[in-house]
Amino acid sequence: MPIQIIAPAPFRDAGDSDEEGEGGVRLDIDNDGDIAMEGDSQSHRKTQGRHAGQIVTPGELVTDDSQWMRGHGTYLSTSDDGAQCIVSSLAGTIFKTNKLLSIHALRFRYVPEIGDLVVGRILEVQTKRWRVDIAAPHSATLLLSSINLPGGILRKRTSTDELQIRTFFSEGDLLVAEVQTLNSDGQASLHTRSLKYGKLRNGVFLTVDAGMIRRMKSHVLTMPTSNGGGDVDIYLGVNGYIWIAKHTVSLAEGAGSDAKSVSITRLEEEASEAIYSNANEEISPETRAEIARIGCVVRALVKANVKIDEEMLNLGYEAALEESLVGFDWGTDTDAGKRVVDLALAMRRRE
Amino acid sequence: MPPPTPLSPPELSYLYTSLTLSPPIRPDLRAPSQFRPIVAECSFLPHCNGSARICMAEAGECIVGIKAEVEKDRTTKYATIIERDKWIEVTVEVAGGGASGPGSGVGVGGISGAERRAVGGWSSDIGPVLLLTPTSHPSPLLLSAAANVALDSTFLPKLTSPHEVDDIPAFSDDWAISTPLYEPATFPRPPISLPIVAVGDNVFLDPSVAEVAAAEVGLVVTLTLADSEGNCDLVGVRGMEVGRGGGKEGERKGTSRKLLRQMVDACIREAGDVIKGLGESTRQQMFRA
Amino acid sequence: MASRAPDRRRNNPPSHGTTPPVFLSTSAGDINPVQAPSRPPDEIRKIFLRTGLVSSVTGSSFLEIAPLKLSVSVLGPRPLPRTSTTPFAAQAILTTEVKFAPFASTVRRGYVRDSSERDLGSRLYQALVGAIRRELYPKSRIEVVVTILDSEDEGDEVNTVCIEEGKTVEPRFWDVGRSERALGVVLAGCITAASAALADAGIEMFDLVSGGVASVFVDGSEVKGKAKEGAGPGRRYVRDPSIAPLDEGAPLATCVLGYMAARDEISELWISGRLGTKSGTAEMDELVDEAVAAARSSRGVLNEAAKERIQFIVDKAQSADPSAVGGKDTEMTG
Repeated sequence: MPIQIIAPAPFRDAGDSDEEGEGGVRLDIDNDGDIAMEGDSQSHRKTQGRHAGQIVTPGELVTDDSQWMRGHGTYLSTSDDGAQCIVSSLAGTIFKTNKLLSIHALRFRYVPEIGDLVVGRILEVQTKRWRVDIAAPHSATLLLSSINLPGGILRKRTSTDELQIRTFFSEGDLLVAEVQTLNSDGQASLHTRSLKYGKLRNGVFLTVDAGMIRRMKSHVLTMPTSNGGGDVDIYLGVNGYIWIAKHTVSLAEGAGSDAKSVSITRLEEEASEAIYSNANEEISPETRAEIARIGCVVRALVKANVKIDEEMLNLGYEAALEESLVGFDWGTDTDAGKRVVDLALAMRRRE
Repeated sequence: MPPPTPLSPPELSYLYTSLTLSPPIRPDLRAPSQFRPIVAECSFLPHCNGSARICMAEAGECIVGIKAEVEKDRTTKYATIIERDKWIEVTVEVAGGGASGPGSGVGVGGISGAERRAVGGWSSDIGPVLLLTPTSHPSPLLLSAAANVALDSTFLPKLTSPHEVDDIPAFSDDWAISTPLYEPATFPRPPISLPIVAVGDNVFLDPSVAEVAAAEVGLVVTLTLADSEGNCDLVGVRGMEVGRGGGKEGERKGTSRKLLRQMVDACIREAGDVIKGLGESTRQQMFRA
Repeated sequence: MASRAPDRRRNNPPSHGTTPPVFLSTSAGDINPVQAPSRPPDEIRKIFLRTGLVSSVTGSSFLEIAPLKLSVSVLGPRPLPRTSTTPFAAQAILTTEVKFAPFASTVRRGYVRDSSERDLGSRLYQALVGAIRRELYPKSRIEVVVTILDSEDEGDEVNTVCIEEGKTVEPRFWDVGRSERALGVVLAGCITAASAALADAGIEMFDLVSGGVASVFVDGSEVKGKAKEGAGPGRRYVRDPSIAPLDEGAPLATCVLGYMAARDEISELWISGRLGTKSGTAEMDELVDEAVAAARSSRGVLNEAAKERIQFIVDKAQSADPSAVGGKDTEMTG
C-alpha cells in the first residue's frame, strides 16, 4: 500500500488522552524537577487549589497569597475584598520558579530575549543590514557591522562591503546568530560576531513550534551517529528553527583547546572568505541518511508533543536505531515515529 | 506574513544531491513512491450533495463541498434531462490563499477536464476551501483527493417529473431514495491527480515543498480506476511548475521522453491503490453514517 | 464559461455574436478553411510565421494557422522597477500574458482576462521558462504578450451538431474535450510564435521551443455500436487536429506539448482525454510521439522564420552599402 488513509479520529477528552502525562508540558513535574503536588506546604493550598502544572485560562485567579511574585503571563488585580491577587492572562499551565509564578502557553510565537541562539532566514537585503525571519512577531535585523567581515573582524566596514552585501548573506540564506539587543517594540537585533555563528551549510532545515524547544545551556549539539554517519551538528534555535548538518571542525575549535573563549584577536586572523561560501562540503550518503534520521526523530518527538532537548534527542536517536529502522523504511512505516517516541520515553524513565 | 522565501543555495544543493543518490534519500526517509498519510472524512456538510475534508501533515487541510444545481442547458433553451450521454459540468474554484504558488490549480485543472459524468442536466460546483496552507501552496494531491472523496460521496435527489423539454424538473425530497453520482462498484471511479517530480534519474511521488523546489521536472498525472481489476485509465497529464533549484547550468531544461514514461509509469503503478484506498475509506464512513 | 457581469462602460455588442452575412461569391474555401479532406493525418496545416512586425517592441511575431491568427510581442529585458516590494532577482523574471481579442471567437470575450486566458498564460510560461537563459539577465524582466486575433471557435463543448435544418436534434456524439482541444491548438500556436518573437528580440536561449498537437481517434470502422472503452488497437492518430465538428467522432485524447528539438526535451506537456494503461504507458507514448512529430514540423517553420528575418536585415544592410552590392542582388529579386 503506497498510501495510508486514516479515518478521522473522534475528539479525545483531555482526561483520557495521555496517561503518561508526557505532553508538551510535563504536568506533574515542577520546573525545578520535583513533584510538587500533594506533599506541598499549606501555603500552596492557598492558591485556591491551583498548583504548578494546572491549566488556567485568561482572567482566572491564580493566587491571592501575597507571598508569590507575578511572572510572565500574569497580571496583578484587586479581588472583591480589596486584596492584591495574581490573575492569569494566558491559557496555559502554571509554572513556579521559587516564588515566581508564571503561565506558559501551550502554543505561542517566539519572543526573542537577549542572548538567545536563533536560526534565521534572510528575508530582505537592505543597504546596511538584513531583515531576518526568526519566527518572532517582528523580523529581526542584522547589521552589516554585526557580522564578521572577511579578512579580519575588527576592520572597519567600508562602502565596498556595503556594495557587496549580497556576497555575505543573500535572500533565503540561513544563518545561526545570537540576539544582541532588543529595541523597545520587541524587535531583535542579531549578531554573528563569533565563529560559532554565521552561514549554515551541509545540512537540512526544519521548523517546529518555538514552545517545543527546551531552553538549555547550549543549543548547539554535536551527536555521534551510527552506520558510519560520523558526527552530526544540531543547531536547536530557541525560536523553533532547527538546522541539522554534518559536523564541521569550526575555526573556533581548530584554534585551540580554549575554544569556548575565543578571543577577539584570534578571530581577526581566522575569519576568511570561506565563511560566506555557498558550497557544501563532500557529504557521504551514510551521513545524509543519519541526518535524515535525526530529522525524523525531531518530527516524531514534536508530533507526540514531547519537548526537544539534548537528552530526548539522544534517546530518540537511540530508539530509532533500536527499532531497527535501518535503511529507508522509516517513511513507509507510519507508526514508526510513535514507537520510537514511546521507546525513548521508556528509556528516560529507566534512567 | 512575508511571502514564502526560497531555500538557501546550500539547502538546495544538499537536497538535490541527496535525491539524486542511488538509492535516493528523501528528507523524511520516505520511499520514492510512498505517499504521506492523509486523513479523509466525507459527507459532513449538511447543505452539500457531497463533501470531504482532507488533512495532510505538511500540505495542509482542505474542505470540498459539492453543490449540484439544475442548470439551463446553454445550447437548447431550457433545462433538459437526458438520461444517457450527458455530462455533469464541474467547475472548480479554489477559495482561500496560496493560489499563486507553484503547482496551484494544476490538480484541479486535471479534474475539471476529466470529471464529467453521465447524469443528466446537473451542473455541480466543487468549491474547495483551503483551511490551512502553511507551506506556501496547495498540493495538487490534497485538492484532488478532497474532490475525489467528495464526488464519491455525492448523492443526487431522485427526479419525479416526466422528462420533457421546457419543463422545470421536480425532484423528490426523500434522501433515502437519492441516487449516488457514482454507483458503487461501477467504473470508472472518480479520478485522482498525483503530483510527481524528477530529480536526476529518480522520480518521487507526492513531493514535499522542498522537494518541488529542488526538482527539475514536475508533472501532475490524473488517473481513474477503469475496472475492478485495478486497471487505470490515464485522463490527464499536465506540467507542474518546479523550482529547478538544485541543478547546474546547462542541465535538463525539460523532460526527455524516457523520463516522461518513467514518471507516468510510476503514477500508473500506484494510482489504483490510492483510488481504491480512498474509495474504501469513503464507503466505510458512508456505511457507518 | 461563467456568465460575465455586463460591461456598462462601453457600447456592447450582443454577447453571443451575430451571424455574418455569407456571400456565395466569396470563394468557399476561404470561409471554411478547416481540415481539408486532402490533408493526410500526419501532416500539419500550413503555418504562416513572420517576425519583426511590431517596431516599438524588442521582438515580435505574427502567426497564422488556418483560422488561428495571433501576434506576440516581447518586451525587455528591461530593469525591474525599483520599489520596496520588488524582490531581488538573480535571474530574469519572465511574465507571459495571453489575451483573446474581444472579436476572436463567436462568443465575445471580455476585456479582463478570464480563467482560460490566465491558464494559457501560465502554460506558455512553463513552456518557455526553461529555454531562456535567464541567469544572463539578472534584475530584469522579460515580458511575452500574446494577442489572439482570431481562433477556431472553441464554442460550447456539448453543442456538436445540435441544430440541423433549423431544429434541435440529439447529437450523434458528445465531443466533450472540444473546448480544451481548441485551447490546446491555440497554446501550441502561442508557443511557436513566442519562440520566434524571443529569437527576434535577441534573447539568449538554450533552444527554440515549438508547439505540437496530436489527437488519437478510434478508427472509424469500429466506432459504430461499440463503447469506446472496449476498443482495442484500432487507433488513428491525427497531427494538428481541427476543431471543426468531426464526422468520425470525438478524439479519445489530445496531447499538446512544447518541444525543444535540438535537446529532445519536452518543456510543457498537457494530455487530456482517456488513454488505457493496460500496457503501461504505450498508448501515451504513441500519442506523445505524434505530438513531438507535429512539433518538429512546426520547428522547421520556426527556424525558417527566424532566418528569414535575419536574411532580410542582412540584405537590407548590403543594399544600403553600395560597396556590398554584388551578385547577391539577383538572388534578392528572385
